[in-house]
Amino acid sequence: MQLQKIIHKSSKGDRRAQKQFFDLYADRLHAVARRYSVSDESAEEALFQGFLKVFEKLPEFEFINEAALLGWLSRIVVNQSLMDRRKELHTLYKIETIEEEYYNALSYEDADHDALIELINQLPEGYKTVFMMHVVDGYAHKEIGEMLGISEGTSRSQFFKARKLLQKKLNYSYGESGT
Amino acid sequence: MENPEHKIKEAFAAKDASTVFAGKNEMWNRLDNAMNKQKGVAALWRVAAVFLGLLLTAGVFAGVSFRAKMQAEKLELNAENEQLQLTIDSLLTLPVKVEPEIRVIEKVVDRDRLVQAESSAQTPEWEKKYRQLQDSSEAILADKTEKYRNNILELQAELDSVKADFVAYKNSPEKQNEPSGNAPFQLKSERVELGVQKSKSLRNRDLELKVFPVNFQENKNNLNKSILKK
Repeated sequence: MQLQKIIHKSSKGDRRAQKQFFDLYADRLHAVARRYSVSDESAEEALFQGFLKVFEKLPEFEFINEAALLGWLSRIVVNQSLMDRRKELHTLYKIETIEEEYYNALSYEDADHDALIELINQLPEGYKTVFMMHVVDGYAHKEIGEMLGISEGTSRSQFFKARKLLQKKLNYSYGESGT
Repeated sequence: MENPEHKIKEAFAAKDASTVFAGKNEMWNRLDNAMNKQKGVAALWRVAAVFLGLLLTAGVFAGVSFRAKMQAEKLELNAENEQLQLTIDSLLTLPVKVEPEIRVIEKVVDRDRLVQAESSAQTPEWEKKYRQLQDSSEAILADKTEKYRNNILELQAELDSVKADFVAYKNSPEKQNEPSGNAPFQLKSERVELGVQKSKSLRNRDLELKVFPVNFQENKNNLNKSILKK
């Protein structure tokens, strides 16, 4: 069945189409939820609540392409995952500082996918969230600020601090421009 | 050289693509149940909304009809009120008769006055005797008064009976038929010359002295007597 038809039927409440829709995106969205949640349980709960919201809002969604659909779905799940963490993250952005001992320098050339993911996971929570939102899920700093309840400047500074940290960890130089 | 962020993004994309959510079926069952429950709740809310709508409509209708009824009742009461006002006005224009109310108020005033304190022990002997004498005198007087009253009543009764006898006698037929010529006395008219009449008011002492001198003796020459004898 075509994706558009599945979406249409799902929005009409067709349970079979909804199951198909769920099967199509559950794995990917679970990975997104896991990225922003502190535990598997909270990730599953965020995914569950996210899908409930998706099926509720699907009649209002206007399908353009799958990338847009994925962006919309990710945003719902990320929002759901961050919902309970906003206060905690807000506090973290105020008090978090970089500790020099934290580094475990790694050669950029040697770093594979798992090593990079591990490196990101080792980042402080505040940096990690902003960095992943900006780099992995492609949110602008303004959007990040809105979603996390912080200012755009805070998001930007958190991102640069995270990148600086990674730079040191990977022994990598961004050059003069720094972007 | 590739930017580390691009590499990181790729790493995560690859991880996402390879991730398999193990509890997919359980989650779908949970979602299915939750959506069914939501559907049931939604249906219930729809029914409730319809019911509430009907209730609201009925309420509005009842309110409108009640208001109309109240309006009609108000108009009726206003008309009645006006009628009563007219009646009151007409009654107010009637002349009012004011009847004075007479109230008899008995006023009792307690007043203190000085009296002689009765103390038999201190009463003197003469006063006791005086009182006894006064009491006995009053008793005798009352007795006498009663006696005289009785006598008067008896005499009055006797007088009345005599009067009655006299009237009876006067009106009796024997008295009426009695001839007047046989009466022992008859009235006979004759002429008597009484001489010069003196006024009785002539009681002047000096004048009497002139007529009768001081040494006048009544027995010797009583002219008046001689005149009367003649």
